[in-house]
Amino acid sequence: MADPAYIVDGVLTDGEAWVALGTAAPDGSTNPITFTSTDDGQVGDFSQYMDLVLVLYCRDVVAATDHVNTGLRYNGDSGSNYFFQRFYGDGTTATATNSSGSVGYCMIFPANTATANAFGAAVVHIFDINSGKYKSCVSHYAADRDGAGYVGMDTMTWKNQAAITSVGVNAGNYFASGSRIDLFGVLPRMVA
Amino acid sequence: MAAIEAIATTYLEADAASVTFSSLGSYEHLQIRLSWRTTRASALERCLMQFNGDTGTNYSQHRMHGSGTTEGSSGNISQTGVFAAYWGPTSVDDATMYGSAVCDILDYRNGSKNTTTMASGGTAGMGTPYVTFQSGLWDNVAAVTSIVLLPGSGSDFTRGSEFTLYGLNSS
Repeated sequence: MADPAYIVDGVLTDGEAWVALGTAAPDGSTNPITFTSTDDGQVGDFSQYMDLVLVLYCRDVVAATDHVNTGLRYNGDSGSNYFFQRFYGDGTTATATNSSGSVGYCMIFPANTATANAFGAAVVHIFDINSGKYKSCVSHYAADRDGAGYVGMDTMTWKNQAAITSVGVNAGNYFASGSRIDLFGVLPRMVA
Repeated sequence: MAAIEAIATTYLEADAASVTFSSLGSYEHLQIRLSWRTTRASALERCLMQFNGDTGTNYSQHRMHGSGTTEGSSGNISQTGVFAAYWGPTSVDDATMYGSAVCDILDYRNGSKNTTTMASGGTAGMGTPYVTFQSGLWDNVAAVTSIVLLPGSGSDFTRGSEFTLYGLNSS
């Protein structure tokens, strides 16, 4: 795919703050879906961005359930370093819950027994990815299954101070064919 | 023309009582993205936002939240600011724990409507985790020409807090 007009030879030429970094169209047999920094000073180099934003439209093929938790892992870290706070509604009841583990849960998507062709939408904002802070994200998601489902928002913290150089999106099993995941970098503007 | 432009980033190199954006440009909407904590000596802090230097009790807020296993909704009137972020980390939390939020300020240049804001954010893994979604209203029809962000309880933003203002263009 050709570079958009605001990128010439890998260099940003105007003030566009959101830069498209990558798109994944899962084939139903790959997990996780991972976006990795190019670390080359070009557009795909995560080190120049303040934040990252994931935009997801997904369904999971995990069997015997109509929905599944979905989360992130940064830099391939599979340790129990992820903490999340969830607030969601199921059409009747609003519920809060929190936990921690080896995947940073921050989304819910429809799964195998959900209404056919029902995909869930989610947006995940990941903040200050190159700082020495623990990394925090905020997400919103909509997993409607035609008469049932979930809508919610989560916050998730990776208790690690490393800069984020890869983002893995972990399905319950695999993301169904037809799913789509887009990653954007969000630029700052340092002014005197 | 870019759809979303970064107007200014403030990355605190020292603790600061407030952060001001006074050059807002000519966009359709504004968005502030923040990664923040404060020096407050007790748990939990809010990030207030005031417009045009108005420190009066001319703001109101509503919000819903999840914290641990407790969910809730609340609101306030006659406040001295809206919340750009609600219940973030303080000096009692891990030193590298910062909260995050996105706050939208729509149609800010209009001079005939009150200004309504919408924000969501939170922090997991701190002593009292919170995720919130909130509205805010500035009961004033003036166009927004400046924005001040400040901790709600009089503490400072901690060094390393980061605030970036974005402008969203229309077609």
